[in-house]
Amino acid sequence: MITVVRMLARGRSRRERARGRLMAAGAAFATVLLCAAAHLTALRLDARRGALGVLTEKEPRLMVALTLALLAVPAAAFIYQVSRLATATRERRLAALRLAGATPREVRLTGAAESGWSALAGGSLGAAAYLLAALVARWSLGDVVPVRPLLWTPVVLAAVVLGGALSGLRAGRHVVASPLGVVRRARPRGPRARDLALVALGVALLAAALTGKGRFFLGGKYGAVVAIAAGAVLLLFGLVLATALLIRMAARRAGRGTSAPETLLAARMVEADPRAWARALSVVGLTVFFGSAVGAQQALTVFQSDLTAFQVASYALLYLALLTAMVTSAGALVAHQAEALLDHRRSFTVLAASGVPVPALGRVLTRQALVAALPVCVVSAVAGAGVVVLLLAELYARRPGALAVSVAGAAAMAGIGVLAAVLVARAARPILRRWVRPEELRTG
Amino acid sequence: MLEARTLRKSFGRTTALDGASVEIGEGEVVAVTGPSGSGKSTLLHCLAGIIRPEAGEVLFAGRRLDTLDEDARTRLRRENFGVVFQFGELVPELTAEENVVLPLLFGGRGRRESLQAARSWLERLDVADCAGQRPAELSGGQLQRVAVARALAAEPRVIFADEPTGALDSLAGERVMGELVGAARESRATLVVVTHDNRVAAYADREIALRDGRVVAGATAATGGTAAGTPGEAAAGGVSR
Repeated sequence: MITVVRMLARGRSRRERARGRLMAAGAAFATVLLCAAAHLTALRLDARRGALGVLTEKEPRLMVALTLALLAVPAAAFIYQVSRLATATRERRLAALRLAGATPREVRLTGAAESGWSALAGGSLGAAAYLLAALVARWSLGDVVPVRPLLWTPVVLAAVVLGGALSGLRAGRHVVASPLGVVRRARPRGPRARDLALVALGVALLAAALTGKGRFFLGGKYGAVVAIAAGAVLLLFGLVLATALLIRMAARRAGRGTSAPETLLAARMVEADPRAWARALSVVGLTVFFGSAVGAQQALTVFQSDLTAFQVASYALLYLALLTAMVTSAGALVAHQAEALLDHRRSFTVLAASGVPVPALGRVLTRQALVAALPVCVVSAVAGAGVVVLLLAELYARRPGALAVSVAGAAAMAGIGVLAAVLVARAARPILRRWVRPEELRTG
Repeated sequence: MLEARTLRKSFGRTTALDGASVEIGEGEVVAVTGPSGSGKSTLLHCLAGIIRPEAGEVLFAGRRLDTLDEDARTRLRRENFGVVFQFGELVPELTAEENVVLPLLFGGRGRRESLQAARSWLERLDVADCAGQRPAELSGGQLQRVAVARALAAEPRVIFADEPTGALDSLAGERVMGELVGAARESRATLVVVTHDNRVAAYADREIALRDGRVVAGATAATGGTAAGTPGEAAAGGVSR
């Protein structure tokens, strides 16, 4: 298997090499984040209080570690999205492997091994960089930085490689390569109304716990806290699951009754494959959700004049984490945009040959991003801010003006999410101009 | 209406057109024939302003087309030309009706007017039942008739068809050709069909034969004459307007 993967790696196309490099970059980033999170939990900083700001206290340190671990989620989404780049070339190669005598299982495993190989390369680089940084920190700070947590590095690396291999396995699950060299894409399941079940359950739990005035019908006061936490988590995961459904509904609505051809084309293209957009936008949605929730919590402290340095540092770190998550999500959007352009290249070329100006096709890309990102970001912002406002309703009642600040914060987060998607689409216009070549439509 | 003078065009080391010259009159139905690689599609793409020749001139209604910039050629194509491709090349995400509507909307027509025109053309070409279906749900013949409707809906002055029956069986191919030629004659549009199939060429008033990038027969109406056994006139009854 390894020999086959190495042979295939040597003959990869330029786009496939780009996919490998991007996957490796994502794996390196995820490894550094997870290693840092693991190490942070074991720091012994009490003796040198004040040397590293908020990290000297155990609880904030654990929060920072958790945030770093959570930042691995957008990195994982980036790897997953990137693993779908250049799928046409990949599918042709899979079909060729079947012709060469490989079983369907071997073909799938080869795909997984290729992705795992890229993750291993990137992960090793990330782990090496982290070990170097940790040793430098140990040299400069002494015993404060313990050596034992570095033993977690191989475990983290193994997890990253496993994640990479699984993403490769999942990316090829809709592809059926027959011995005749025919590659058939089994029709992926479309989004269904039942994808909203988790959202409904989360909202129901939150509503039951919040209307019970601090008590829940199961477990009383303790039950209410559990119900609120469970409701928030269910709502969050439910929103991710329901993203495809939400995008399809919004696209259908946008396509119906429009007289702008760019919007019609954009809406129908999004409606035809809402899952691809959902994959690319789910982390953007999560970032907007957390950002709006943080904003709603901070809205209560805006009017406070006695903010401690610790609070300011915590907020700064949170926003840094959100910015990192948004940038990583934008990377996933870039990968999606490249794949979508490849998918629609032929249609765009035919339209250009028929007299549709290329700038109009560029507007189709922008409107696709708008149609898909707007509902996801708005719903995420409303949900994120809404949960916090409902939880802290009593404090909100005492601070008039906080609600307006919270709404403004949520609107800003939604705007940033939509803007990220639109900017990525706009950045793809020069590529569209290069790729749309009507002369390639010649038949003889 | 359309004229090409000593066109030259190469793709890498391969010479596609090597001094090809043709004249096509208004309302004429012309078949461009020749073996694979003879430059048929390249000639069609030069005439349609899709690609620019390296040398020579292309004139449409007396106006140089090859010297226009990309924007001007795009506008010209949108306002005056309709194109039918070998595999229909409909946008897979749109329904048949939306595929026909799209170029009309891009041409600046209103949604209602565009929808009316699209429905009317789909009815004429006997694919009104497929209006709500997507290309993947259509048969090859239906798909190509929708493509014909898309090319004709904007009422172009010239229709270019690149192997329009190349992906169809003979029965479906004859039907598509009959309707394409019939609709072109009714709307007095010029039709330029690239084909290597003699049965398709027989629909034309004239056959322009290409070999190795040069026109070897039928460059002008005077040298071409009417193709033998033209079924085009009979086929004109296939579509009623």
